[in-house]
Amino acid sequence: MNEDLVNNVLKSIEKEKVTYADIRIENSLMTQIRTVNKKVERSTTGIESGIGIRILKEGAWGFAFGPIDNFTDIIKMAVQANKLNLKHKKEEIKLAEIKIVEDDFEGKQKKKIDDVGFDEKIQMTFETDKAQEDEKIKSRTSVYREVLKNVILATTEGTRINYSVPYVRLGAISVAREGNETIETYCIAGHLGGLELIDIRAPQEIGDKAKERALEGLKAPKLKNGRYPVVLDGTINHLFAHEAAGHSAEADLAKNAGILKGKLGKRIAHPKVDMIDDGRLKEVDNIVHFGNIKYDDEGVLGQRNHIIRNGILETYLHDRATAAYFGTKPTGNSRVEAYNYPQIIRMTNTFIAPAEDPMNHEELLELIKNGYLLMQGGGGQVSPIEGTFNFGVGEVYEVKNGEIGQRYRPTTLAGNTLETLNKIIGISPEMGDPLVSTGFCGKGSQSVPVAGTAGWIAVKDIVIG
Amino acid sequence: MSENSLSIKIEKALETGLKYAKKAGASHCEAYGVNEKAYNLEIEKKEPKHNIGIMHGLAFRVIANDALGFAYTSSFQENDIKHTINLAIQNAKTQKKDPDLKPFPELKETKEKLSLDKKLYSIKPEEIAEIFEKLHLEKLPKNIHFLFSFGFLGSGESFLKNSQGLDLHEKDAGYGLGIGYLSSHGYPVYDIHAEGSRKLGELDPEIIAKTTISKVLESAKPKTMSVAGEYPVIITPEGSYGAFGALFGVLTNLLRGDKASRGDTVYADRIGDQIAPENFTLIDDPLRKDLVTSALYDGEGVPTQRTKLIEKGVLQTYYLDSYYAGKLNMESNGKATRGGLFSGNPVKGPPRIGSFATIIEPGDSSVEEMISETKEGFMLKSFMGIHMSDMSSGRFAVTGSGWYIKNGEKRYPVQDISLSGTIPDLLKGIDMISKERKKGINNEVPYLRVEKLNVTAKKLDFKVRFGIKILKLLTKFGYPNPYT
Repeated sequence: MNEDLVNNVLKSIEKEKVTYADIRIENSLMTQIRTVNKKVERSTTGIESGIGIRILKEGAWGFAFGPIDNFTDIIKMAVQANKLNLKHKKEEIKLAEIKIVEDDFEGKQKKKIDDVGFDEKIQMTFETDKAQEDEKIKSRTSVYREVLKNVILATTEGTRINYSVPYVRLGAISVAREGNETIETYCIAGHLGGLELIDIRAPQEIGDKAKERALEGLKAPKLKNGRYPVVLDGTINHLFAHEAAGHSAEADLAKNAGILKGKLGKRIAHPKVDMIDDGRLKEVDNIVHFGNIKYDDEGVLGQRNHIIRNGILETYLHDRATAAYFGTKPTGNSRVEAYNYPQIIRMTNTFIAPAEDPMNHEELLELIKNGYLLMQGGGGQVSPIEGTFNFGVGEVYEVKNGEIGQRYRPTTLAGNTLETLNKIIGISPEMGDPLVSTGFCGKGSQSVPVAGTAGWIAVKDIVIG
Repeated sequence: MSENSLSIKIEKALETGLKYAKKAGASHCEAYGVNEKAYNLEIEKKEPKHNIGIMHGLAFRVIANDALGFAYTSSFQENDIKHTINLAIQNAKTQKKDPDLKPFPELKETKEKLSLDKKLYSIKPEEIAEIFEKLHLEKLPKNIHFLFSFGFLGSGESFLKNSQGLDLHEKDAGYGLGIGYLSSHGYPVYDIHAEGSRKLGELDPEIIAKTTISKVLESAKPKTMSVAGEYPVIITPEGSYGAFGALFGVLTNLLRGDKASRGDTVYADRIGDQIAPENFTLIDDPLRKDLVTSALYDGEGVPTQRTKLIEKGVLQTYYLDSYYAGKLNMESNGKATRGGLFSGNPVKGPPRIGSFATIIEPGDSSVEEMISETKEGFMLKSFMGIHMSDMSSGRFAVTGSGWYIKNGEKRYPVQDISLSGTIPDLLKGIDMISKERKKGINNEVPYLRVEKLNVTAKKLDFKVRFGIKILKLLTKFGYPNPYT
């Protein structure tokens, strides 16, 4: 840790008579390679360097960011931002107490991203590309992304965390075409760690899977739009839990608006439903989940939070300010994308688990008897105020008499969150592949890594197409 | 250190980078730097979340070993600049030689001028706050609740130099205001309205707030309905190119020159084909100086131009940068974008193909006629799920909200209307274009009626509808409404 710099910045901030301040000094490294049809279309390497300063003064925040060398200007800007916030302040911001932490840690990397050359990384995307080759695949895209986040978090309360955490993600997007029919599908794998990712999930496997989804989808007939009983796989479990229900449980929204406002302690889902956000989700086969955090960006330990227990809304997700507002403890969900953003409440690894009566996948299919099995959720959009959602689905299979039958073309599903939470009739506890469902959640113009492939769930009915 | 001295530092850093690139083995180099002060104002319900920042950084593109490499840094240390150039060169050298690669563009002068309001550079934070405050009306109509408001003011400069002698120093400044209100008449709905300008004082915060209120009142008390079939659909200007949930973002993707060059769009090799009705003309016009996304040069220093992409329904060209124009044996029409004022730090990626300002020529029907000539159909204004559309075929399946039309009349607002189809079919199916157009932040477009589109919707379950009725009753007796 650059202690002199940290001490200088904090000393300068203290002159401003603040109640509290935190600084984040970042010097992260990022590489992204995107190949299309075995040609590097875009490759980007960069150093993200800067300082973000957040002050709490007279019960209002002030945040500013800029180049590290300009920290005295940035402090002045944070004070200006604080004055602007004071003008519009309606209520006093207080912070829940937390344990002061001093820590210095590095994320595990069996194969360090620094030890692998740029050419090898390009080669990986080419391998992903080659695996997608087929006369019907008209466009093959492969995307590799690695980030080594090097951050110092220091607060006027004494917290000092210096960390270096890597993440790696590799994906393939295949576009198949026949006549006037075109279909686009993808496959992605990612984790918190180094290049050992490709020893666990080979680039060829990722390319193959994207291709197979595109070719099978192209052959498959279209499903008639309508409302059907469904079983959703672990990726859609995560997508629904995160997008539809999770965002509404973020306390910065829930304290003011949204479908979960005022519903703490009330039944909002079927009694079989538990919904969990787990920032320290247990490793599976040594794979660290994409949404895992040791500490959040206020220095609070990442933790397992039951948002819904037995169908009842047990907690919102909090940062220190909303925890104080609700008179509870922070849940370790205050996160940022980079130094140039202020902390906001975000999820980590989010999913639905059985509160009671766990069922295996076969039992879930038998439960709906006739309907559809929807797999490989991709992309999602939600209106947490109105409680509506719309997700992409990569694989669709008919379920006939409890058996998986004919495959259909990729489609979308749409619904109302509270209605769907109450229509969940069965849940499997079998956690899914930790490498998939790795995404970047967008909120307030920031994106942070999230994940949480869980078990399959059966829903009485939902709109498909 | 002042913002001015930061600009001097950036210019020096770019020169250092250009010189070092040559020494380090790059045959060509392009250096870009940005220094922009940004005020972000935001109030969500009762909470102000204003912040101020300096967006800064350097980006280098190099040609080495006949291949292109890119790297960026937000550190100005000489060692980091050299390291960044080395990364860009390494990046290029690990790629295959590209026979289509040409040196970066040379300077072509433009006679166009962008008039910038100097006040945007010297405005004080409290003056910005004063303008922003005026967004917040004291009295709101019954059942209309303030949700959030946002303001943005950016002023700064960018530098673009390359080894072909191009040396551009551009200033850019603008501001924007927006506000969202929620209606608790029946099922909760909200709407947002935002405007942008390059001239301080041109935006009237009160009008923006009142426009939002009238928009949300127009959508208040929406119904859900059970329908499945093909219906005529009128897409509003917000629905096609608005800032929130616009469907025609898919069309912009389908018309990108890089996708056309790879055969990755249904419009590849279709120049000269009739792809839309004869009264449909789509233009990208970066020189529309009243729009805040206007620009004199694109992201690689090519002068921008007004480009007719579709004229009288015939595909004329694609959105092109210099590289893909070369691949398609065409000329660049200056559509390389680097983001900028309204879209994040522009140094973090190389220039990419995109649109600046979308214009659709007006048609000859009035909006009133479009509605009165619709026996049964919908007018839709915003959509969810657009990003999941197939950007090659233009296939989409989105959920929208708007109004139900019956016997030539707008009957009532609706929500959860699922719309599916493809953009090529939708374009061909446009049978009416309005005379009236609406100006958005980066567009000016009319209402478009599509003769028939696949519409599916399902009425909310009885339990939910019943719950809303009970909630309404309870709120009358003082029970807090969770939606507000």
